[in-house]
Amino acid sequence: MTAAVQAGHPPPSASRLVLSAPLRLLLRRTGGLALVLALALALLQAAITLFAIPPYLMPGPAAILAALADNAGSIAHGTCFTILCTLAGLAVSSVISLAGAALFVALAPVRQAFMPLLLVLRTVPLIAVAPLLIELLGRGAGNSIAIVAFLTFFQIMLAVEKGLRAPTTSRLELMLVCGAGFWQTLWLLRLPSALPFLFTGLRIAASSAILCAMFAEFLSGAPGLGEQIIDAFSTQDFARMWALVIVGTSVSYLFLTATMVIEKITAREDG
Amino acid sequence: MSRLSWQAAAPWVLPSATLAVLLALWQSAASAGMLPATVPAPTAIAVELVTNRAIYWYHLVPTALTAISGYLLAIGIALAAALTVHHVRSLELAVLSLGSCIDSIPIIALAPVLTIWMGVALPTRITLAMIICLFPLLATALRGLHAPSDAARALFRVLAASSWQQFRKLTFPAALPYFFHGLKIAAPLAVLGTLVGEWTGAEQGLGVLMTGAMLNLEILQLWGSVCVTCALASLLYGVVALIEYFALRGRPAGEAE
Repeated sequence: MTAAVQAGHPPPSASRLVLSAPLRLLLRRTGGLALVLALALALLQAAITLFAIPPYLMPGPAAILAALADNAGSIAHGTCFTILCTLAGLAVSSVISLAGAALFVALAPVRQAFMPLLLVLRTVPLIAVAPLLIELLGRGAGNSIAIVAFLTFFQIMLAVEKGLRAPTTSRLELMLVCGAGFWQTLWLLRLPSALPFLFTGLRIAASSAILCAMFAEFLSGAPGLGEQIIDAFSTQDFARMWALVIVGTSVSYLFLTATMVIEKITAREDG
Repeated sequence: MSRLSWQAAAPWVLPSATLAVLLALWQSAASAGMLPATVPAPTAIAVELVTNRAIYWYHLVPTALTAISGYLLAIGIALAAALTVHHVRSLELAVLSLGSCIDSIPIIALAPVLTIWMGVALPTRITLAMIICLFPLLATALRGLHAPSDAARALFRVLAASSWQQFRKLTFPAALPYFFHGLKIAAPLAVLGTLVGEWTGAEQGLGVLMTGAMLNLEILQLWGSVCVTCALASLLYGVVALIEYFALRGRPAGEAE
């Protein structure tokens, strides 16, 4: 009867409830967001009825949700635009980072020459450079992608570089003993061990990446969420602005959650 | 001996030389007319910064003061919240979830909202700088307060240390490297928050100068204002790093990362 328990297996009733750690994280973070949003809307309604706040200061939840429904098409379009630009920017940034980090591993002097500069540049709030980049790169989707790529490059590059150098000396020596060349070592050992680090870098860069995309739109006028928020603000359409703020916040929170979940999955496969 | 000093100097010499070479390449490309009109020569930017230093100083002062006020305010709030949560553990998940959600509000969305509520005024920009710093500070402070091991806590309890003694001798010193980690992350962010506030509306400040230059296609002034902003952010970071160096002197390196 108790053989399974004695053999160290959990009783069957407990194993049914066990979710994998990434799934738990996903559920917890999405649930947290839904809870905070619901609470915020409820508090808002209470405050409006209690203090009789006029709609031009703060539209009520009903008005915000109505604006969300009315503009669902354009908001969905803007959200897709922003997310696609962010993803494309992150992809470009990852590819360049991998190439650059491989160069650093191959040529130690290059690493010594450029690494400190990268570390210094990382401390600069790069979004501040966005107006300059818009002047340099023009306006439009390509520009948004370039800005996201440029602004996330430093975080991702540093993470990937750390990852490529993560394999222990004994593993590297094993590759050497087996007669593996530089490229084989890179492909078979260094790249797989760098992947979890890449996802950590992506997680660190993710929240600022969405922000960068919105900034680019805010300054350049490309048709994404950031541009729509400013548009609603300047036309005094506050219900629509709040709907956009809620969507923008949720998107950036869920984007961060997605990268956290991916990071957790890859880290688990690695270990 | 000379070899030793060369090895000590190498981490400085090589990057500086690289920077010098890059600047020289940029300069020669600019004087050969190979760069687009939006990229001036480095010397032209330097000349612009020196000749118009009064303008840059005029716009730098309010930005720096706003950023520093927001930063200090955020430190106070984050420490108070972290200490509260540290004592009332049941609040932790709620505070962290709320903080994470607030941190997800794009600051670009926050700027117009705060402008509606608080007007185009200094408090709006200080609040923006404060909010953008808040979550990194709170998260690192909490991690720091949780840093001491259970064994160390148990030892303090066995030795009948009061909770104030435990805080002063164990928790605070253990948390300090984490605090500084958060302080270093937040310092440039404060400048960024101020800048966004100034982009949304202000009369004076580096953000005003920057967007004005962008819209009027004053390329030199745009590069100049970006350089000053980056210098300000790096300076704040540097000051915090310096304080950290003196505060944590004599400790084994790499405690918090």
